[in-house]
Amino acid sequence: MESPSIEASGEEADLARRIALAAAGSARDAEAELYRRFAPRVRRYGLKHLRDEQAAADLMQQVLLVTIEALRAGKLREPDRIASFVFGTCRMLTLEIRRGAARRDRLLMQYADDVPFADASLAPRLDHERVAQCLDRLSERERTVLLMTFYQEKPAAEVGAALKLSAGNIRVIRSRGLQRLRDCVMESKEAL
Amino acid sequence: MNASNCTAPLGFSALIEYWLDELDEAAEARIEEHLFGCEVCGAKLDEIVALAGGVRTAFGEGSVRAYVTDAFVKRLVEQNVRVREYRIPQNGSVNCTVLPDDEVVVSRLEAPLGGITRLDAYTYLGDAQPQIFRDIPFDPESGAVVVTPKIALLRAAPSHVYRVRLVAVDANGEREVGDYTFNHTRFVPSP
Repeated sequence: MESPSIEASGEEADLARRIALAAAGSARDAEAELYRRFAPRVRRYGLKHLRDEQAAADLMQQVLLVTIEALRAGKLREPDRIASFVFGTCRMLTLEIRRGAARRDRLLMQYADDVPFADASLAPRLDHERVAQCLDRLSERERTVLLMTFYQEKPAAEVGAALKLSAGNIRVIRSRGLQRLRDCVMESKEAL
Repeated sequence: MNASNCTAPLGFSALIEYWLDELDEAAEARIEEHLFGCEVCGAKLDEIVALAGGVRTAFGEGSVRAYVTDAFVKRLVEQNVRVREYRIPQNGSVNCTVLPDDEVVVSRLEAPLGGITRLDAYTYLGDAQPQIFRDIPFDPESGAVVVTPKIALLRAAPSHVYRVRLVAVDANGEREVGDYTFNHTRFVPSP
């Protein structure tokens, strides 16, 4: 698998260095902070590729267990490459999950009690009643396109074929509609 | 790249296309690597994912009225959603209700739609001014406008008469293509 090159922030590299230099399991604050920083990114990747909240949460745990264990064991020689390591582990474990490998259970049994699972700030929570009100404010076409796109996860070409519109046209309506929905929902959140 | 120095923020459209698997492999990989190093763009994707979930939840709760297509309704049925469907002939009427088990109500307003490029819907409830829905989506080849009303509202509504007029609009003006009456009876469970 091609190794991606993703630059970690200086703080992330410092955290990785602290974990690597400490006696195994003794830099728990740094481990928790590293977990907190990378958890949302791994979860996003998991949601995109596994399309399941629970599977994405499982992936998040597995990837960060592997990462922290690798740092503790001194297997990651360049802490500056921590983001690339996490990303590569994401890709590898996602493939394994798709193949139904039993690595997850093995890892959790081995390390779960020993690695801190920090609270990570994950996806934003929306007021669904407000989303419904904001959907009402969209044009008929925008609402239809968003519903057909996101309720049944259909790409622009398929939605366009059903409505006798081009995929390009659907992309424009979809993007404009979602931005308007976002602005409306966020406006009410900020007003609270 | 990190949160404080995102010099090439990803656009909203690109993130939507990424989420919906519409990009080729190379473009997807570029976005993926960027997202992994950039919390600003990652948070933007989180919003898109949350909004997509919000749309699904709102429709699932019966809080979205939308003009849809036959294919959308067919897929709902395939997903084992309990759909109550009414077909109303052009200028016709129907006696309708919503039962406790219904999850989605669909009305098919039959009309000759060939050649029509823009359609507006005028809706009438009691003595109130009509509500006008401009430029409603439809498939001109299907021979019907397909609409899913808010089932949550219908369920709570008393018995009433509701009327819809479909009006074609073009450079020559407006032309009515159908008038439909819904005689809605509220479902009352037997004691």
